[in-house]
Amino acid sequence: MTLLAPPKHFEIAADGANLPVVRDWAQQVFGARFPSAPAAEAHAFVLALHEAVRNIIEHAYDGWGGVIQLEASEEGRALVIRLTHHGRPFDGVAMPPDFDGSRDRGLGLFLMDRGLTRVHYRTTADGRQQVELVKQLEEEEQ
Amino acid sequence: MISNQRTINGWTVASVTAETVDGNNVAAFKAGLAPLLTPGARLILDLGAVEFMDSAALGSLLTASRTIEAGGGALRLASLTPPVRTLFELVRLHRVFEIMNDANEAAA
Repeated sequence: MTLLAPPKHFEIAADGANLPVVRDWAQQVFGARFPSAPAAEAHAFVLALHEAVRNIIEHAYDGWGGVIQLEASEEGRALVIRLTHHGRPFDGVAMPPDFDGSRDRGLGLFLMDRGLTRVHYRTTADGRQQVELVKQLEEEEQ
Repeated sequence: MISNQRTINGWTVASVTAETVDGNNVAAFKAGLAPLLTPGARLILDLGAVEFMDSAALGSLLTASRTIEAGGGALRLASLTPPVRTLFELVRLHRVFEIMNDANEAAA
């Protein structure tokens, strides 16, 4: 495992005011792991992480606050982000949103799906909830 | 959050002044848009100052688009910054919205 220049793990209060910090960190860890990646690919990853953390704030904690731990690691060729929290479990299934007005609510999950290679939801051994976001660039998947 | 309104060729051009439009301020964004969504309105939303939008902001734009089209009007988007254009392309909304390089092109 290679050390990343940005902090490998840190903790935030589950508050939307902290989302800019999350986005800055996402940009840094992505840039450290994939320095040659196109800007659009980096932004897609930043968006995905933003949406994942916002989901935890709004749905796992229902806006009542709490703590989210963020951890980045390089595993094989992938950049792996783990978001761990004490909120209620939820398992998002990303579906392409309808654009006819019947369903916009899938937009955030769809953005996560578009910006990431895989997303896993699990309960940790100590009973916390964890969202694992895996990013691998297509050209490196060969 | 939405200001600098002017008219070009019968189109109302409104500029979004916030650098970020996301779940934190989307209510203010919707409130700023609401008075512009009048029946028959022809609205150009200039997004040149916006460096970050998320799904909440996108959802509000979709709602605005439906409202304005239901009233017989039209909504066009102009001056998207690269991150915002990436967002639209990721969810393929660049095929749903009319997106122009700038307000003058949008009003042509």
